[in-house]
Amino acid sequence: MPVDRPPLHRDVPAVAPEQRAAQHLAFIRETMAQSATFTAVPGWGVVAMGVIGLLGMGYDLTTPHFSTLAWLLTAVTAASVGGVALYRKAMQLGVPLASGAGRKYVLGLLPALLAGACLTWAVGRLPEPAYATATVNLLPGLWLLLYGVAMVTAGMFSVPVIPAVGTGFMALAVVAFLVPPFGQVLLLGVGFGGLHLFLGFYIVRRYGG
Amino acid sequence: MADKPRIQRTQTPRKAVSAFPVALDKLIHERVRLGIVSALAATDALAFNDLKALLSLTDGNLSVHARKLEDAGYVACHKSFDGRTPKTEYSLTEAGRAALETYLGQMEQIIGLARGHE
Repeated sequence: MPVDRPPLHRDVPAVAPEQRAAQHLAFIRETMAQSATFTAVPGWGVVAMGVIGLLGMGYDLTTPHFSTLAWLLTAVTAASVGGVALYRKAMQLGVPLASGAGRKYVLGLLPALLAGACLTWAVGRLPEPAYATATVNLLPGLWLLLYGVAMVTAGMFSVPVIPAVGTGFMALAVVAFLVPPFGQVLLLGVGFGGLHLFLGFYIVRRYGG
Repeated sequence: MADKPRIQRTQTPRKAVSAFPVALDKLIHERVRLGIVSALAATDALAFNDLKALLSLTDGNLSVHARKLEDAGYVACHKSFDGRTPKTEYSLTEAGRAALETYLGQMEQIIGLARGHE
């Protein structure tokens, strides 16, 4: 006699509706977290970072000690402004930074930025004249490259313009490795100033400040 | 026929645990469609291939379920060309978002009811 229905498993305990409801809610939460893009990138915060980046163009790289410290100060100031703006926008939108797409975005940024900090520290430990040579010939391109990598990586979890701008930073880095020191300072300004301003205004217009 | 003794079935009480105590929207209660609606609720739009990868579905399976949601007005389908490659994107409509919110409310209500009985 053909079996036309699945066997009954009476020994399997039925799942209570509240348990099933909790499973459904967990499934919805997980699916939303997986598909979400991080949209709390602060437009005006990025504009402010761009303005700070443009101010950094005033530093003269022919005096390596001064200019490296000045650019590091610029980077710390811009990162602080950007970090506070990011936190505030995320809070406004109710987007958690410690979970889901926000966490992925932040974790995507960190490795390349930490690599940049480590390499800058390593260059800073070089003896003269290697230090001066590396500072004026290597650091600008390195910063542009690793910042671009950070944006491309983090941008995978955010709006498409972020990895696109990150690619722009990486392209500027390649050019920076090929031009003399003065040109590298200009490219730092074009990247950390110009590209940030473009990105910031684009986000303000497209996604809100 | 009438004098045939009736079979005495022992009435095992159907447990309420097998069904939800509130009337659910069957269209999004189904797991694949719930996945589609949930995924779209967290983003502006998703491409067909992204949605397929996210939910680990086959082309046919996603098409069938997305069509049902589209017919119900829960999901909007946008077809375009990226160069010569056809591109299909889905987004959640207001009706779809409202249906998901109602569904979420019902799930929380079920959990709340159970806690009330404890």
